[in-house]
Amino acid sequence: MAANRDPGLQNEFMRSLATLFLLCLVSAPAWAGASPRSINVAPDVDVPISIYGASQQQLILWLPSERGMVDPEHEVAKQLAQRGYEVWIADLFGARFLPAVPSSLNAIPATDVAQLIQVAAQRHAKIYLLSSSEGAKLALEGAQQWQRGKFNHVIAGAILLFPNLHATIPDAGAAPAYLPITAQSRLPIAILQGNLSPWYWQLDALTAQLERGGSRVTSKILPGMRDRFYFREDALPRERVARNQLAAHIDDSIRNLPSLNQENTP
Amino acid sequence: MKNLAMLILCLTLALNSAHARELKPIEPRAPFSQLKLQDLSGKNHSLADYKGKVVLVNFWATWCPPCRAEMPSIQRLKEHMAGKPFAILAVDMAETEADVRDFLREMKASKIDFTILMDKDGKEIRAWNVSVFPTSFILDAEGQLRYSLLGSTEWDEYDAVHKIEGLLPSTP
Repeated sequence: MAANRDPGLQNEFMRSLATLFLLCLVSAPAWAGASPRSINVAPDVDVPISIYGASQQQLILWLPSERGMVDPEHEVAKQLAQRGYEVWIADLFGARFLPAVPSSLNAIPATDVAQLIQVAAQRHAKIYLLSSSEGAKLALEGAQQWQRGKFNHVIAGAILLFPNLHATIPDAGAAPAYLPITAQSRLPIAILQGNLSPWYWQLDALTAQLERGGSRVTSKILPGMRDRFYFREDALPRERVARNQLAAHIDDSIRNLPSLNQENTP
Repeated sequence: MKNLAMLILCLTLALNSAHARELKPIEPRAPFSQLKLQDLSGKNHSLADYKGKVVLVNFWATWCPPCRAEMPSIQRLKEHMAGKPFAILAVDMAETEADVRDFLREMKASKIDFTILMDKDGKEIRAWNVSVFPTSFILDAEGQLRYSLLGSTEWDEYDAVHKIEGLLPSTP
């Protein structure tokens, strides 16, 4: 007992405890600080949701790209929460036990997204869909699925980060061919696109294609950025810095979303 | 049995990584534009200047890892084709001359000295519908597009060299 009261040993114990605490902090997973939730979207399909912030006004529903959800997105979600948004990071891959590979994205039905929107719409005035690269297809298809037959404008827009909406990789020299959903969507859309990408040069074509279906599109160009800049393994120093500005760019894009022409609105 | 499976896996991976992409034949057609651009020294170039030569047109950028990776093999292709009616025009995607010169300094071991054209406003990238970096085209001596390639390759390996040599005009 006497040994336990030895001040030297007690100090040693406290130092060890503090070190352990710091180690826990350093090694905390990316989603530390998120409130977990699970939403049933189909029989035996429960989507794990990481929730950041709390707002009944504005919800950002972040959907996976072909790479699934990546750790830096949780950091960006935290920053968006500090800007007044509630952010749901939806692990649609995990819900169906799919690996984070491109083919998995096609195995996620748009109804899963529509069901998430349905649940979100019960408590939020405005919902923004957010995704990157090929995840843009899931966002547009999910929105279309949910909008069918509804006179509700709760989906306030889609924020698409360097979207890949090509139907196929075009042959060399061939004009880009886009997925049918691009001409069937009717949403306010904001595109964030780095200028160090061949897609930057096709932005006019993609915008025209999206507007064919009644969407209104605004673009924000990120100078000196490549596609996937915020989670690239080979990120350049300036791309690592820009990762911390992504939340501000998304916030800015939401604030500048164009209004839909209300004529012919369902 | 486990060792055999590992050996097969290793061989498969080695073969896959060693296998360069192949040039894809295209129906002979006129180029999308005449590529009227300046090189790093400010000299004007146009595809019309290269009539009588087989030309490799390569769209690239310094920030594109596969583009960087294939540059040494493009230089080796140039050296392999020395003395033959063959030219290389590497079109840089809308970067500054400083970016390109920095890159060439980084790559000085490869002694890159083929022609680099500066597409400063991206008009040629649009005209040639470049969707993937790098993208390459081979034109025959008549100035017709004959092959294309999406992505990088080893330009001094058999497929590329054989196809390019197959387009060389026969000597009189």
